[in-house]
Amino acid sequence: MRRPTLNLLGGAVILTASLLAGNAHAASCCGGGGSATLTLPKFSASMVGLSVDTETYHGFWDQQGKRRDDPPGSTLVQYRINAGYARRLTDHWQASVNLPYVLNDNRYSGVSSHTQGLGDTTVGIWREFFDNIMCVTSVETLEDLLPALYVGGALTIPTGISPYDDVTNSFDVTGRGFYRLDLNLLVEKTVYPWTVTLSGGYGVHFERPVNREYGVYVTPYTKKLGDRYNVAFGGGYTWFLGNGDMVTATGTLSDVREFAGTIDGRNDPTSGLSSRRWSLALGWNTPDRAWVAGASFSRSFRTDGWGANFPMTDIVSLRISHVLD
Amino acid sequence: MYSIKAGTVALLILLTTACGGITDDLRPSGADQRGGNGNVEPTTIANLSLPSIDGGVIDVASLLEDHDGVVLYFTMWCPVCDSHMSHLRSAQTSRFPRVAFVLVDYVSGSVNEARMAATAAGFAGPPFMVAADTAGEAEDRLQATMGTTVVIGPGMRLLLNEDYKDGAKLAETLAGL
Repeated sequence: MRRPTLNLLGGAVILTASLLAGNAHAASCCGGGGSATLTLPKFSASMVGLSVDTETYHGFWDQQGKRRDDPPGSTLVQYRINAGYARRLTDHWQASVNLPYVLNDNRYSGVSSHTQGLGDTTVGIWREFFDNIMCVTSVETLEDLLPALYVGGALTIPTGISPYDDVTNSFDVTGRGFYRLDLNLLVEKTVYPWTVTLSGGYGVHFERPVNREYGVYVTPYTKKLGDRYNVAFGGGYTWFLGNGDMVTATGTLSDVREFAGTIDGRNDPTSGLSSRRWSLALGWNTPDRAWVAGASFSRSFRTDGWGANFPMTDIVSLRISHVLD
Repeated sequence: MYSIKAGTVALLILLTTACGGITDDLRPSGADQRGGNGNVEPTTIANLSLPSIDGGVIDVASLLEDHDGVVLYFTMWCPVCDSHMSHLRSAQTSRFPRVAFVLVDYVSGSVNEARMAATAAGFAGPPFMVAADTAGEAEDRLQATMGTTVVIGPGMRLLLNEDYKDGAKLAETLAGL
């Protein structure tokens, strides 16, 4: 029997999708934008979302995947405020936009910097390959096992402050400076009280000319970051409260990798990255199901070989979203 | 309902207009804007003498007495610098044994801090020498920043002064010594 309340889907999907898709590859030295795109519940027309992330840094993996500590006395924090809006286009298509505002508060080695600015903007679109709510309370037929399937795309627009702007070091940036096009997949199945979610994406950066690095003009050249993929797997459990509220706890493992880029068409051996992390999230729906609030904690696996050429960080996020109509 | 929509639109507009200069990346330029900062034609510079984390002094002119050239790489020990320095170590130092490779810590406030940073990062010994530019002399004179790579050849000639990128320009410059 299908659950008739439409926004039951929202409670699980909004929370897990935002946790799965977002934050897995933030980090101020790699820009702070490109956060999650909103996922609109089935049959809802539009939605707004706001989240606040605090990311703290705890060393990094070097290019060989060995864990390295930051220089003594370093403290690195990036704050992000993400504002998003999603709108239904047709019965099966929805679009969204996400704008992060990034504040960097860093002391690294002997350098102190406090920078802020817009991060990279993400515009996304989802195609829903299901006609009804796919959450069920029990499995009675094979059809009850069918998941909610989303296939979509996202364009990252380099509205942030990148290494190619007038900055002095990699910790001042709020974006990466490249357009990127992602093909995304989201599969979710809920048999209450359990939810399983799988998400992934493959992104291609667009080549661009560069004539400045960290505030200094250089011999012009063309640069292209490598293709990247991300995959995340999450499981959740939902509690129904007596007043109609719903609380969902979710655990997630995520992996992101970016292959080597090119400089003037040549392979750039200093580029490429990888990062694996785990996350825990707690979400809460109000009785009218129109509001979803959540908090999450995400941490890099601080182990040799579980990342490369990337910082190890903790991320605490608070988020709220509201279905408008 | 209307107020929430209006507020969201206003917030998005505010965020998009809050920052100047964002079009630099939206419409990136490949125009050469270096001007006369020493990048285009080799020039001769005055000697540089910097404190070493070993307690001595790294004197470029003295190094040139028994090396074909001196490479100065400006580091703040961050992940980007780490990838450059790892590539320096794996691809450049053994290929050019007659060149002195100096990592210049331009951010630490003291020689001791620079020594601790270099040790934590795993670059405190050969094939590198590590200099602590605590007074910012090298940074100022060479207009250096994170990742800046400088090649100084015989006669204190400045042969290269720009970002490391993939190391190809450095290798090309060193091969010409």
